[in-house]
Amino acid sequence: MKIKMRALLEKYWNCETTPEEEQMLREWFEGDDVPEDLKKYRNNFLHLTNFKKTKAPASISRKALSQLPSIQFYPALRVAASILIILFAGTGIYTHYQQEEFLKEIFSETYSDPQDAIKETQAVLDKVSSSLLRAKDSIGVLQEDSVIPEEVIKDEVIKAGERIIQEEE
Amino acid sequence: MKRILLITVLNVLSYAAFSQEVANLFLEKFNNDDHLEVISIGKKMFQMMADASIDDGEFNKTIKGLEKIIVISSTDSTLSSEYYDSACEILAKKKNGFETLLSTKDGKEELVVMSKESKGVIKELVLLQIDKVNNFSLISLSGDINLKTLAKYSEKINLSGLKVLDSISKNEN
Repeated sequence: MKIKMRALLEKYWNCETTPEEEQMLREWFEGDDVPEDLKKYRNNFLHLTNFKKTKAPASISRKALSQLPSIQFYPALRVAASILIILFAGTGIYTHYQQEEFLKEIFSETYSDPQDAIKETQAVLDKVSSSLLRAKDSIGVLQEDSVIPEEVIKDEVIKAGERIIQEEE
Repeated sequence: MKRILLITVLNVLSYAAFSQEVANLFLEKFNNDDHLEVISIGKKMFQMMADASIDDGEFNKTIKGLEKIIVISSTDSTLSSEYYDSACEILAKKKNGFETLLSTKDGKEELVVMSKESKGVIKELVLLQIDKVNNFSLISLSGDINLKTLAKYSEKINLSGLKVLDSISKNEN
């Protein structure tokens, strides 16, 4: 028995004991059968036993409880925050999907006949080029069959950009 | 828990970060506005046009890289200025990535032509115009736009105005 308890004690120091084995050690140290060289460890086990048996007075218990932070609400807050985030994300995704559907409807093909579409496309290209032609007139560099100097073009484009920036400001 | 949060946030942000065309951004603002007329020609129709105009090689070559043409217009004199200003605002925002090719303002009209590039290729060309009687139009061409091809097309059909576009294109190169 003593040899077995010594082995169990060794196991306890190595933190390898099960709760049942620790209980056995506690009961053994409570008894009188403890060898002299091991009696110094009695208090380690008895202290735990006594601690377990001690009950705090009611007044101390109430005081201690009142000073505890409201940690018990944190899990509920976390759950609520998670639900909110999922709701917002879901709403965002749903709104985006609705917008995509709306735009798909708006940008569905206007023409079913390719000939009509060809006429419209040619008209668009015509409008783009005629607008550029009018724009060329307004910057005063139009000469029939002339080549617009690169420096003039560059200068006018920079000025146009500056105009836009000033208008924005 | 943190991992789920991060994945959710990244998912939502990915939608926000998605790049949109000017016409999309414009119509998101003027949702269900009856004063606007929208004409849309998409990739499917471009294919049909190419098949229907077999003899017009230059036209087919020009529209080959195009994926979409959107024309948004209005003849409402009270709202056209608002449409024009809103479109300018969208084009001017740096995050939308547009650069000015041309901008003019005179007694007859205001005109802006802007382009958006990606990896050296013009992906969107936008023409914005408002005339003296407040007719508003926004034309957006999307796809792989070759300015030189556009210029050649206009030359072929005597649209000499696009030579300016060619000159600017040469200047940029």
